[in-house]
Amino acid sequence: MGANLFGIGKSSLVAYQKALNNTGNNIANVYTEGYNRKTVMLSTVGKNGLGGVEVSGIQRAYAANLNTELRNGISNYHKMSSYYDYAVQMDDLLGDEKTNISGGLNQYFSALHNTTTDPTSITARQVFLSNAQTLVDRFHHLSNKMDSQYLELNIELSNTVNEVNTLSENIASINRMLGGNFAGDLDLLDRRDQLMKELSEYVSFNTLDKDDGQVDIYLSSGDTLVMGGRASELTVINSSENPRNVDLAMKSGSSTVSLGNRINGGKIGGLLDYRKNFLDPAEQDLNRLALVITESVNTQHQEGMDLNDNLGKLLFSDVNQSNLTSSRVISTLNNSGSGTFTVTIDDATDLEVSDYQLTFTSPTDYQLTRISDLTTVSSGSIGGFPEQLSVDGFTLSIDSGAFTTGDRFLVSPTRSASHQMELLIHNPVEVALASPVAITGDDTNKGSGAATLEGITDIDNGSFATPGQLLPPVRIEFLSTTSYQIVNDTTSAVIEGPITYDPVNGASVFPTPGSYDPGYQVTLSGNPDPGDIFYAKYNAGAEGDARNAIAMTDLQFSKIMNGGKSNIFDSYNVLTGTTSSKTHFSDLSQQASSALIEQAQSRRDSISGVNMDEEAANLLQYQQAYQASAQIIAIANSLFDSLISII
Amino acid sequence: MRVSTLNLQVNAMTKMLNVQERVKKTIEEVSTGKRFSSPSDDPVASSKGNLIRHDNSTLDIYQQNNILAENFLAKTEDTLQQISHVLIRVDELQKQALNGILKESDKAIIANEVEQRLDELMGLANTKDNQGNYIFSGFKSGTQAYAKQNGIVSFQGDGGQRSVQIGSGIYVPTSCSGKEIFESVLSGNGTFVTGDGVVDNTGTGIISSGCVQDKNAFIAENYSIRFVTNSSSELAYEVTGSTSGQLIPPPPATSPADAPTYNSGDAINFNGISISITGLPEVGDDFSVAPSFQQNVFTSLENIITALRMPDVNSVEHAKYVNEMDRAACALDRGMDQIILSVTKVGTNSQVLESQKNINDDLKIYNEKSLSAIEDIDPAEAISRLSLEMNVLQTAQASFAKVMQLSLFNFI
Repeated sequence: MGANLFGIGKSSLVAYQKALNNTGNNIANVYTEGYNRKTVMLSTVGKNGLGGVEVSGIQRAYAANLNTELRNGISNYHKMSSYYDYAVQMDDLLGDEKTNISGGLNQYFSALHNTTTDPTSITARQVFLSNAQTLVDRFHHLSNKMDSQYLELNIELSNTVNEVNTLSENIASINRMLGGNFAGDLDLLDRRDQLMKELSEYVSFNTLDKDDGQVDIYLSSGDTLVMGGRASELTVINSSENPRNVDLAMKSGSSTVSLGNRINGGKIGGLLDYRKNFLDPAEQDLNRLALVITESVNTQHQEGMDLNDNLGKLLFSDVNQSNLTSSRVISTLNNSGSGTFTVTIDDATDLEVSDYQLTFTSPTDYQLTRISDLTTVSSGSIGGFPEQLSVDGFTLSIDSGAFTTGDRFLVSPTRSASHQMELLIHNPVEVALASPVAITGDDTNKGSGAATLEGITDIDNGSFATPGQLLPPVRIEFLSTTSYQIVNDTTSAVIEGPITYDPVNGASVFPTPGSYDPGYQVTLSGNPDPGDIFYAKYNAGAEGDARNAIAMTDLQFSKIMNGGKSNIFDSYNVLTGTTSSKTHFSDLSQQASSALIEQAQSRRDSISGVNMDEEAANLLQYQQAYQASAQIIAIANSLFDSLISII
Repeated sequence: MRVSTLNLQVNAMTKMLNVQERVKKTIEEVSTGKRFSSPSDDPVASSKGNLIRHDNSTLDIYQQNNILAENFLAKTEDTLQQISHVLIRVDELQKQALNGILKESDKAIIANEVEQRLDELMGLANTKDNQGNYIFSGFKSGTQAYAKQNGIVSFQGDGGQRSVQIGSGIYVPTSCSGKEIFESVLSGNGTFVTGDGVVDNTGTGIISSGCVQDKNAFIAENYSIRFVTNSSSELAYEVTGSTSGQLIPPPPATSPADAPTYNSGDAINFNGISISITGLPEVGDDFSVAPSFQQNVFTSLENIITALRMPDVNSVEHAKYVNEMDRAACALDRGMDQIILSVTKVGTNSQVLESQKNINDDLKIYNEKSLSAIEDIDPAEAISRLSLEMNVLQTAQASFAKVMQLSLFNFI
């Protein structure tokens, strides 16, 4: 009996010592990340309740679903925050009037307007050129910044891949230990949970707990990252779609399998999402704007005449330079066929904000898909080279090549347009502010008729082929108040006539009813008298003429983009509006997911976290139990003494 | 719910940090006066703001153009005023010269002054702006507008009219070409011009400049009014047109038998034209009525000088002088009309500038207001919000300190 009491007291002492140790351990780990509170399980020993007490086990206060919820929250938060960190930089840059395109355009047009008030001023022309250069610089600046973001994204993706590999390897190694000698080790479980929580910062994944205590980890793409004690290694490879970018891939034996854009969540998901849905469209939009501005400015400038009486040259570099047209098609990595291609811009204002994919469904059959909305915009079969197809404002020409089924080519009409934009004119004299055609009435005209140049319709017309001349010079002779004829002013040969004239509504002279078109447009109005003559001649010496400059200012408000709905400022505003909304949205999501993490963490901690007051109470409780157990032994001892003393 | 100590402390801290962040943001708002610093803070407002700022910068360009245009127009108007003063003076001189009692020497003096005025006019027509451009040369602003070659003053520029944009779709001409001001002046009364005919008249008939009686009946051709003796043996006249043929007496009446008797000052009407002849023409004298042609002001002045230097010793010569002088004076009047018209046009353009300037100013003020409403903070609201947030922060800090003190261990 006494032995039994001793035994009970001893078991109780040992049990409460363990309980005290456990409480101490809980207190010690109050600030340890990922620590799960442990509780001691006490149970009676022996039969009939006389065997004392023992620690039957130590339990982790753990709820798997709360941990999953927390990990999902973390994945989501890091996705949004990595997206936001890049987006806010780009958005600030695109939105800052001091560095952005609309600020540059404002200066450009302001300087251009200045030349209209005094086209002879070399200073005004120089200022205009400087501002045109500033506009070009801004395109360069923004596209350089975008390029460096692409580069940063590549670097950051490879760095995160290394982190993921380290974490998944560590998880696999803990799995191995749990599957071996350390089965059921609570601290290892805690550490693995903590590693999984860290992993969720980089990528979102699903877990599968197995009976042996190991855990398998699957990426959202379905690929296995950790299977028991083995971890798959992630790596980065050059993107098969665009060699400039890296994509994530999984090593499988000796080969690597691209994961493309299939990875969601976490930092990696955020970076991939940002690249695909923010940076790509922004870059394409910016490049498109560069093309539209270049094309429109060049066209109008070439229709002008400079101070040397020469026709205007290209102000910005040609959008269809040969080195550009061939660089707009990129062969993807796995192609076995190859070919030579050119992409020429037909009308930059019709371009879409998208790249295209040219896929060969057989060695001769191809289809062209617009990536932004995955629409097949053209398909056909190569009958002979060059095979040309025109869609969305550009022409793709397949000039030569041999293709195999499944070959894919990236067609990027807007590619590096902002980079390639250059100012070609540096001499202020060569800015073509005047119009090359002068319409003058004869000194002997008696009627009230007037002839006005409406504009140049085709500067490539033969009329302008000879430098410094308009060939043939033309005169419009009124035969009566209601008819006129067109006469070659050099030979006096009648080109066409008589042509009926309506004094009430006026008339647009070219092209004539007989389709004579000298490449410019003249309108007649008022009441000319018979015999009145108007001449169309080369506008030599007209240094005070700023009609072409005024025509160049029209670009400011012409609704030439998005099917005639917006001007270039609207278009840029749409770009910045879109990037701002995306940035704003990612910021809001970031804040929301941050709050969600807080809640998930609270819920997880309410189960698994250490509460000092609770532990203090436990400490007192176990201490009292321990002291009482000691008293049991003391009593047992005194009982024993009493017995001895009796003997 | 059970609360873990770590969670309790972290939460208290997070709350405090959140409030701190809000305080920082509000301080930023108060110090910059703007509701947001980054476009993504409020995409809609910042997009609206961009549109308004772009509109404003366009308005700035318009206003700048407006000021420059005003300078150009002021210079042009000033020059045109001076030109009209010169022409008024010449007009006075010409009226003075028609005074019958003037001697040839007096007219020579007048001729000299008109010659000087012609030089002055040339100088004014070749006025340059402050950039050294000839203001009346049209687009050929580097070329002198008028130059004298072989004694003839001719226009070297072109008819180009420069304009600047001062509002959305509003262009205002800032230059006047000499072609419009000086060149496009029609001689005579603007429709036809009268004068001595091909025959060297021996009578003292003086033809009026006439007027258009019926615009629709007017036919532009050369007419000749010849003096004959009719069947009543009276001094009569006949009118023939170069293509219309005999007009007075109207066929089938024959001339000279049926020609109407001449009475000094009677109106002679044909093909919408109404003229009168005064004085005593001789039989065989003829007068011409020809369609007007463009004649520049300088030529008109030169014609006055030429007329003033014509011999004028007898009544026949005087009649020729008066006819010539009338014809030149008529052209001068039309030249002056054209100058006044140009001054009016310039004045109208100035008014357009002025009113557009006010409109643009108003638009700008309105834009600034909208921009302020979109982007600027309400200082009173922001400052009271700041003090409120700082109170909250203080409370959060105090409660954090309290929470940190809470522990059962303190009582063990």
